[in-house]
Amino acid sequence: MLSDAHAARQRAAPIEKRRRLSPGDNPVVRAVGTIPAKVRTKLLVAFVGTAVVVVVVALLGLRVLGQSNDRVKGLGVLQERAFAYGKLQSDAFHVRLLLAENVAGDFYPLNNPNLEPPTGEAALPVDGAAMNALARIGPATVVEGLGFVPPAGDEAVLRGIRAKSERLSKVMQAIIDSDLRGAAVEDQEELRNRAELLAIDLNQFANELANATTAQTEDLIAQNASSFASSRNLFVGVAAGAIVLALLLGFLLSWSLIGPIQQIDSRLAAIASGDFSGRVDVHNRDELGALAVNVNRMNDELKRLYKELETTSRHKSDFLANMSHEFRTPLNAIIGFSQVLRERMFGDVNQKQEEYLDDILSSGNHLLSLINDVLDLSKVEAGRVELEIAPFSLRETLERGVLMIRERAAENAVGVTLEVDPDAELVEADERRIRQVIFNLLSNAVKFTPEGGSVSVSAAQLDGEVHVSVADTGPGIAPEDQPRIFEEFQQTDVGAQAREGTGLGLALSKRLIELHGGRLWVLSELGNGSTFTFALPGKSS
Amino acid sequence: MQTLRGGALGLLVVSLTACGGAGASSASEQALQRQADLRAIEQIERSWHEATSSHDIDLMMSLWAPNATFTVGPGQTLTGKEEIRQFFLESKVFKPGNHWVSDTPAYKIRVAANGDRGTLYFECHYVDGETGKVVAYTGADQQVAKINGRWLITSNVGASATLTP
Repeated sequence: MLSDAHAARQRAAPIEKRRRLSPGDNPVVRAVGTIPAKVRTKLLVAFVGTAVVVVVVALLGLRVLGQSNDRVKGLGVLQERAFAYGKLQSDAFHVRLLLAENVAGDFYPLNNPNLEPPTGEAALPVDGAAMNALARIGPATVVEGLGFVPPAGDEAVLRGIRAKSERLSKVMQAIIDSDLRGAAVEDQEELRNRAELLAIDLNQFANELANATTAQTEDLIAQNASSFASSRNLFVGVAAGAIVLALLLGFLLSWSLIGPIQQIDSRLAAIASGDFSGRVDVHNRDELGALAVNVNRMNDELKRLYKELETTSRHKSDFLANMSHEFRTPLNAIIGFSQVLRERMFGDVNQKQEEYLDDILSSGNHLLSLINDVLDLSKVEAGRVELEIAPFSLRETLERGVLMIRERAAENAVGVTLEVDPDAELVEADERRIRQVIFNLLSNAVKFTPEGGSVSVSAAQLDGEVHVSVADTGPGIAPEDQPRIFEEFQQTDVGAQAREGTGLGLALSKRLIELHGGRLWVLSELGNGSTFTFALPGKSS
Repeated sequence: MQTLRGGALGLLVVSLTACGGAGASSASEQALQRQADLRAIEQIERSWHEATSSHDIDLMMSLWAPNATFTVGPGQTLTGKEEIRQFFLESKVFKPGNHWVSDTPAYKIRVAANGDRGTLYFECHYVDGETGKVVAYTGADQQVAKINGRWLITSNVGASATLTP
């Protein structure tokens, strides 16, 4: 059992190597872990932080919506103004064009040599129309006509327009009076020049007013569009920031938890496999940090106990090995000399002496067998058994085993059969150890099979393994005894009554098969015999 | 991880830039723009008289918007650059034998600009280069607009008032 520690360490090594590459080892993640706060506090801070960002986004949205609402209101006011001023502009331009009909100056005659400006009553329709158009301009410059209170800047321009239109009305009235009197073109020249200049001014003022309002409207629309673009960018930016922040916090927090958990998990897995060499390197100052400290303490304590156990076990094995060796030397003398006496090499022995010599020989052999088993078991536990793996004929080994117990079987009238599948004839293993196992199983089977019973030995290839079974028609083993029989010095009641065997054979056999990477198990039912089977890995493995 | 942090910072910077960078241009910038617009509108008058004095019809037509109107007489309003061009080619000012010169800048000029629209009014006289006498007093009552970044005449009513310089 203790010799498995090295293999466990080898299995645990890749796990710890993988862990070192995890994001949990990132310095920022580790810094989050070292914050001296409980896990629930950290989680709370992260959630509240994310919630605050969401609230900030919502507040920004409300602010932007408020600004947008103000702009829409402003736009409505400007549109109302633009409509009224546009009407004023249209009327002023109409007056300007009407006054361009009846001209007195140079421009039109310059380009129209044949132009004869109408005079007298002929000029009345156009002059009258100009007068009518003018009549609309004055009322359209006051609050009642506009329908709203104009801002101070517009009010000044509107006053200018009103003054110009009143002056122009007077001039036009004079022109109309002059038309009615049938005045000549030359006589009206000064009046018409004045009227045209006033109309030009009027038109310019109205244009400026309308253009200014249109410009303000367009500016506000552009501002709105720009504000929308900047708000959109702001929202996208803040939303992206919030997502990144949430991801970042989630990443940092989760890995500040997962990293240590993974480390602790892999350490516990290693401990479970018998590797106490590592330590959990967790810097967290939260619950996980405390857990890591306790895991390390547990590891150290287990390591200490394991070492003590290893030492004790080694001492036990050494003791058993030494003692077995020490026992064997005098035993060989006892067995050897009793054999010499039994063979009457130094004189005759009487019947009683012969009987005692047989007892000595039998007890000596039993003790030797026990000591050999103890020695083997000690070697296995101390990891001193080195298998000599080589291909050998399983059939021959089985046949030899059967041959060895055939005599005893015959004495008990127990039939022994052997069946070897052709696929299982050749195996790769330590032949001597396998032979030992087979002999042990066969001995047990013959020993516990009553007269007239049978022992069947079979070998077959199954799922890449070689299975060797020894089935008997003995009394069977109770289910509660089945696990026990593979432990040292444990026997069933039947075995104990037989006063034969050491109680080490099955334990040793199981260890030897497991040393080969195989398994040994029993299937049995009280009254229906037992079948012991061992499986050896196939050649490929 | 480094990339992730860099990306996060970048996004925050973008969002902050979006907060601070987007806004209406300042009042001083607007005032400067208005001055530039007024100069550009005044330049129409200079180009106008340069075109008439040098008989450069292309320069004259470059001052007009594509769908401009020009009221050249009672009930006579021209629409579009082609009609206006034809009018100028047949006018006395552009008549091949006439070498009339007009002072520029005009002795009376009024310019206004609001956003992309404005007004331009100027009065001028033409002097016959051969006789040295003033042969005509005219005026132009114009509406102008900034189209594709250039100020152009969209409407012109010929002013015919006889003026005293």
